[in-house]
Amino acid sequence: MYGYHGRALIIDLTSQKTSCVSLEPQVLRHFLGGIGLGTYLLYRFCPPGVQPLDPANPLIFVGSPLVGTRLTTSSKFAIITKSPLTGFIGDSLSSSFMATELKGLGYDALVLIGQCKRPTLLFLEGSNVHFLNASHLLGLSTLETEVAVKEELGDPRIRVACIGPAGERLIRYASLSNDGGRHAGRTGTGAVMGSKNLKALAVRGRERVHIFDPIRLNEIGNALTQKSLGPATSKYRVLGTMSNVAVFNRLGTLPTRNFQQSTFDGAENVRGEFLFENHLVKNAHCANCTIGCEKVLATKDDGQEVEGRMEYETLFSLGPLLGVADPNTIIRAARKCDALGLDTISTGVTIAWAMECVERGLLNPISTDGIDLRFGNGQAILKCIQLIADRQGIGALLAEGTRRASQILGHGSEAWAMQVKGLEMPGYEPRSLKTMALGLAVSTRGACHNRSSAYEADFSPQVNRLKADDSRGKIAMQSEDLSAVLDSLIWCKFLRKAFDNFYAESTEVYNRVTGWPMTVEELKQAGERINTLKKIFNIREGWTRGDDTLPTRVLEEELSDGVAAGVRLTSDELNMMIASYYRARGWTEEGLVPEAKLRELQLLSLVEAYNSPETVGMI
Amino acid sequence: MGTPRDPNRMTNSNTELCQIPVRVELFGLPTLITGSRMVVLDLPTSAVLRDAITALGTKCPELLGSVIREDGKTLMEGYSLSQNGMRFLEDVEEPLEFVKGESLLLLSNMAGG
Repeated sequence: MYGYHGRALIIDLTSQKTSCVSLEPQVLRHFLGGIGLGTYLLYRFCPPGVQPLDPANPLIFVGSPLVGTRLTTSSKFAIITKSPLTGFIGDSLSSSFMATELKGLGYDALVLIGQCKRPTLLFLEGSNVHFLNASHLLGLSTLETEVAVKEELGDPRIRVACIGPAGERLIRYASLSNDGGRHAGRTGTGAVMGSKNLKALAVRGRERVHIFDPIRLNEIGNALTQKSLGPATSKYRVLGTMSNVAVFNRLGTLPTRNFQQSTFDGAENVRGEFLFENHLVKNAHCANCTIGCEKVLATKDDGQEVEGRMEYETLFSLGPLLGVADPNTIIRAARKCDALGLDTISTGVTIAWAMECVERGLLNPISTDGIDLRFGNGQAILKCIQLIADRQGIGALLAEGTRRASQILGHGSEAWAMQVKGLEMPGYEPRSLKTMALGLAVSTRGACHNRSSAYEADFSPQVNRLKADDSRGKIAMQSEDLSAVLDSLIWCKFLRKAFDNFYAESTEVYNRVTGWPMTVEELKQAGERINTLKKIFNIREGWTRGDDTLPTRVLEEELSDGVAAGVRLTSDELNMMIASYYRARGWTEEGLVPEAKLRELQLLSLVEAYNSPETVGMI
Repeated sequence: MGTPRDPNRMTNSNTELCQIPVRVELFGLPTLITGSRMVVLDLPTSAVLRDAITALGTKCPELLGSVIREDGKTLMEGYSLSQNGMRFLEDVEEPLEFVKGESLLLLSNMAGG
């Protein structure tokens, strides 16, 4: 087999036994790899209705057919589980050398089930599996853990994926970190790893990747590399996504002070151009990446100098969203989140919710442990981040995420908990980006800007971003399906504009790697299949029509500032767009998947085999 | 599709003889390349999008080849012009029908992050 190994390794952490399941070519062709194959494996191995922090919830690491080739941006892997934040599918991507080492083990996926009896470092070396004591690693930051593990195992080529203190304490939006600064964020995969008493996974692969047509693939790769260094990626290569701040501020799409405003009066000193000129230390590259989108910034104040990695979502969520106009605070907060292993978006949005609670008098200095948790107070934010990771004081409430925290606090605070399906919202103001609003509402992951790139339509002449209409359903669907293929092959999304014809070129790459004839239509259908299976998983785990929505604030308040002042998004408008999305997908009016669609996508037998009895017939 | 033009905009049969200053706000890479966040173009009131792009390339030749194509007539892949931040422009033959005080925004149409 080329490009794949055709098997997955199952490790039972409780019994310390391993087994192997074969992955048939049809499964690999249908789900490709990455997020797609991970979704398939989650559907198979996750017991219906299991609690996310239960040992039976699998934590799945998945490679892709492109890993191990020299194609730019191909060193990526996916991590899939049932999310402790949403209760639905939790899928993340991470990058760099870990991807190559995982594939070098000789498996397409690693499925971890059960729970270690003690804090454990799981070391996979070729075909050997070692369960090592990790008690001495508890409390270490993500980077400290990686360094300690590599020193202990004595091999600099070992790659480490680990959790920080946040994952150890099961913070619901804890992330998983690898390769000195890459993070699998969103949905709390780090908390699942912590629930398994697994502090770190160390990997040293030995097997080479076999490619069907290496000569032709090399030609394609060289051409793609050249395009990746051109204007199609210049934004990412030079300024990175930090440059979104000034643009979004001007367009009235920059969520500010917990989405109370859509422009930020302090944007001048936190816009990407300013940070580039005054704080940039260097670019950061993943392995095999010619783009280098991530920027390492350094503080420039009187305090101890700190370096932190920066991109738009971190910048927005720890900056304008919290009313912070000091870049030094944002850099320190970002560094702190990374070290503790916390997703920066969820951290920022949850703190923003708390700040508004303080503003409204629902929380006071006593309930916030004496911290003046008001918008703009940088020191308070830094203290709060630590309290969250420690689950201490106000941090114990905030560690649960905005949905649970607002349900616990009550007093109407759910209205300004900015989340969808429990996942905190990214930095796109949906009231002034109506296609993105739809994308956020229907995404299986929750409020996600990665599984849907629906904002692209809003930043184009294709639509009027300020008005809703029923053309958005098809647009959102196509955007999701494209993202699913990107996330399953796996290509970095920042490479997408370098393709002249993404599907045609990706099909050729797939064919050259695997030797399996794949057509453009088959590849497109794979994207649809993957998104449909994600939806079916969610339905099995309790999704209802009411989960496809947006926060109360978005649906009841009009924008107050900027060029989009006065614009609002009504429930009727959102429901109209959601209905158009269900129609585009061929789903029922209630958002369920009919049997005919399952047959069309060749999902029926899989669904029947692994569905819970009470949902059979309801899909 | 797209944002409709304001039907109340006034047109003048002598518009091609009149010029109007139009602010072009720069974001991201264009800002770094030019060292400016805004330039002002004097455009005829009958200008179409191509005219604005050509004028911008003439005023800021350092943008040619990286943001504006070498022929000066269209933008490179990944860049867009937005009228007042409200609608994004695509058709280079589209009349802009600017009134005084309006802006063009030159920005990357790739978001993400």
